[in-house]
Amino acid sequence: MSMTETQHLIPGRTPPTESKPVRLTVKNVVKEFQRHGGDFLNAVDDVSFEVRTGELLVLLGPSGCGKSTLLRCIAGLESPTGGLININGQTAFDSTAQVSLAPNERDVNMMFQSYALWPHMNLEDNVAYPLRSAGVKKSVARRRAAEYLDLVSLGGLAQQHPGMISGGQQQRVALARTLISEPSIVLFDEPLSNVDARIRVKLRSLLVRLHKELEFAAVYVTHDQVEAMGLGTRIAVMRHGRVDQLASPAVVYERPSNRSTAEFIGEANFMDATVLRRDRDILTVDLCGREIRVPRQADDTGLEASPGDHVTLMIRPEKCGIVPAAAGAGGPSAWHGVVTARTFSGAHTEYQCQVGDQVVTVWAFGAPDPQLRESTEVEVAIPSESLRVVTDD
Amino acid sequence: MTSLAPHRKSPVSPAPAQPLPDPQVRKGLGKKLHSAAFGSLLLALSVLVIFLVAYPLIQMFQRAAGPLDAWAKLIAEPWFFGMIRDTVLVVGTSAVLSLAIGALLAWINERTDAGLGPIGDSLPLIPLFLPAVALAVGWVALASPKVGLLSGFLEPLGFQIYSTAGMVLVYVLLTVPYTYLPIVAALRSLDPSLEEAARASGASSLRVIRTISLPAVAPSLLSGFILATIIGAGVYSIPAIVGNGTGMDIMSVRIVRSIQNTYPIDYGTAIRLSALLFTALLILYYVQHTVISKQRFARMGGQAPKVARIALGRWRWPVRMLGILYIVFAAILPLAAVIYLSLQRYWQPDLFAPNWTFQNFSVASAGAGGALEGIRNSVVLAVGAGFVVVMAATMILTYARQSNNWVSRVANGAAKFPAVVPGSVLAASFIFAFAGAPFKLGGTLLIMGMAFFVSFLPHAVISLEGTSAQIDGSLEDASRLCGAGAGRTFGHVVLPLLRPGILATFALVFVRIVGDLEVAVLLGTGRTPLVSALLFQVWGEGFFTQVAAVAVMMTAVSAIVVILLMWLSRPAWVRKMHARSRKAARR
Repeated sequence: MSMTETQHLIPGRTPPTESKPVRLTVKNVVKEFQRHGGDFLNAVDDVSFEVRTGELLVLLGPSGCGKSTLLRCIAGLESPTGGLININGQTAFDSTAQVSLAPNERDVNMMFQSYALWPHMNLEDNVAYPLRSAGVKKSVARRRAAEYLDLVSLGGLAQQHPGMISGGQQQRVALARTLISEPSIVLFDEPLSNVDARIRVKLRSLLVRLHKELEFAAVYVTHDQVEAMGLGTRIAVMRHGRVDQLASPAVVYERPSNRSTAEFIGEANFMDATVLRRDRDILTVDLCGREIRVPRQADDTGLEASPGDHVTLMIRPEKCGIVPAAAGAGGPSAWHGVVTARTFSGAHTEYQCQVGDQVVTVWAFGAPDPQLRESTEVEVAIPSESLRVVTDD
Repeated sequence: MTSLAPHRKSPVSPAPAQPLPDPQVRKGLGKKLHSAAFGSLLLALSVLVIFLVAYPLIQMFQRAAGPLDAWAKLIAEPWFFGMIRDTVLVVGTSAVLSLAIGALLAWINERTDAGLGPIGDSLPLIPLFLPAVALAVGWVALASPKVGLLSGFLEPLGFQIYSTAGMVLVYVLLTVPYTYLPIVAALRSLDPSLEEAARASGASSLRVIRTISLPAVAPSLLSGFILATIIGAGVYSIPAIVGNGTGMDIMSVRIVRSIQNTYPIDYGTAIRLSALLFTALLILYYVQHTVISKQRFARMGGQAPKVARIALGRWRWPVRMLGILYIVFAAILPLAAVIYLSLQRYWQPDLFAPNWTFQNFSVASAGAGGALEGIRNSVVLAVGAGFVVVMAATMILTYARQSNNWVSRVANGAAKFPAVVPGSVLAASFIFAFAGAPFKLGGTLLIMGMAFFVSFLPHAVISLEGTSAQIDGSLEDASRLCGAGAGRTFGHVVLPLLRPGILATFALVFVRIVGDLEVAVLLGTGRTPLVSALLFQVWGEGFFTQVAAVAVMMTAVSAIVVILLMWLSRPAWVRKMHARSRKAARR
């Protein structure tokens, strides 16, 4: 094991991925479908991104947003209508140059939602298959398959058939088969959606560990935001075939680019406000009759708002604070309100508060505060640095 | 290696990673040629299938079109309307009864606790693997007036085989598998929660059947009925053997007789009757097609959910007996009768005064060339044509799985179309198309092989489609993504998974060819006798015990092949998986 590899295994010391080679380039990819009625629909609409070694890009979105179609286009199982796909320097698809490689001619592998293990081969043969297809000698391929089965802790089951092992085990076999040939890019099509929650968590951590150890480049499709947050080095939020936002999990969560992204990932409050002043890095708005200064950032979509415009402000419920009105300190970011509903959900308690003509949801850590009952007068803290202007579309 | 990234060492393996061939080297012209070759092979196959189906039928219609007064003369024949009446009566009644029985058996096996498990599921299909001639001969032996083995029991009930009821009985026994199969398939793909929801809404079992299950499987009921009608209208062996003594005038017999037993050969009548029968069935088929294409049901994918089966309580065993009774009637009794008769010196009804002998089996070497030669011809033809049919069906389906273009759709359509053409019509049309100039194939094994190819290709395609539908497309996608080309994917993934279906289909086609009488009688000659034609000839000469001996030999050959293929069709992984699911079910 070389020095650089040892380094990668130490958490928090991962070097910036920008310096690593690009494994996958997707450029202006469009996939057009004809509907039953005859009109056309862009399932994938002008999508571009790059994935580098060691990166795991998550395509996140509701069902029907085109994320699986995009994945199948990268795999070569479907042919895009236009655009360019480059895998490890090799043009896999180019609509202008009329290039379209078959799936087996691309340096990719894919883990399917159904695992797609071949029921007539034992686990060893299943895992060794990519190597055998590549012309590796049988004995060598088998030895390597055994190593990968060990890697996913299935060392003793090499001679079993897929029909005889559990769903979670099948999943790990599929993972081993996907990784064994060390493809330039590994594709995952919602691989964790078919098992129960407990096994899903285990497999997710196995996947995280293997990703760290083997440092493969991957594109991972899911509609589960928790999975996306836990696995992705970057998340591409997709909607109607387009990428709404492409950023790290933290940025996507803290600073979603629009309302639907904010709604799709986690809980969010949306409040109407009116712009009063626009300075270089501060937007002063009127929120429920009070002035508040919202910091503006370069990538803000609400950047163009001018005085008099109505804007939507977003804030996560756990960023807000709540105290009884009597104990409140006032302050510039405190609003007067009334608790309308209270729900306890284990790790936090949710309070619905009426603030002016708007409803604000607040999450407070731990059990319900006996002082904060329904119709209690409260002071709701809305820190201006956690507020974000989002577009409505 | 021109890979950009240096090959990493896997942290778990001390050995250096095996350098993998570069994908650039693997891809190339070779593979493209390969897939293009497969496509053009398919195209050639489709063209051949279309030619073999369309050419004889076009020839037939061209000749049948003939002068109008020839048609007038045919209709004016004194037997014409009687024949139509008898045919519609026998075929129609038996199709309706067969539909009722098939639906009942399907419902019992799929939706009640009276089913017999996986064995019960395939029980109604056993008659498919018995030659139809043996079935007919068996029932003649059982229920002939006075001498039938069961006549002492049946005649007081007013039943004997040489009657309309007797004919209908054998027709029904023959056609039940064809109505049972589509209904079972429909019930399996119907989400049982629809029925459970109705039951939860307070509907009785009968009401659930009437308002939910029946409407949902209605298209498959129609297909079953039409399939039974086509098989019934085309079959020649049963009316030829059973109908002889009834005076019933059946169309398929008329067609064969006007070619076989008239001199000079009355091609005109045969051709016009064939055209008439075919047109009638085509209209039925068209009706079925429009009904089915109008009704689209959401089909579920993946694993069939657990069905809460209706508990029949004290009705369980009586209902279960119905299924067993069918097998007893359709297979066990006729087979036992044939075996018993083949071992008797002469045919007499007293089971307790037997006169055992092996003498009848000397028919194997005596008679017209000997039954042995007939069996050999039949087996050669069944193996050869069966192999070609199954290979063609496999290719057509594989192509359909890979690409949904017009070539695959045309091939699929052409392969299934002959299902509408009754056997006797097909055989008759082959005489006009290929027996004379320019092909001059009359009396050869080749013309019979071609006819068998066309008439059993639909069965093979439909039967294989069932297996193919169970193989998820992602299994092939996974293979492609693992770097395997179309050839390797076919050889290592698709073919092994299709193997059970391929072998079962081969067994089915084999038995149907060995037991076929229409093609054997119309296209065979003394030069190349087939065993079924031989049996029919001995039948005509009146040596019943020898007929039974030939039927036994025929059935034995079929049974050996079927059992062998069934055994081969269950590879280790299937057996292990079944053993596991049985164990899981017991827990």
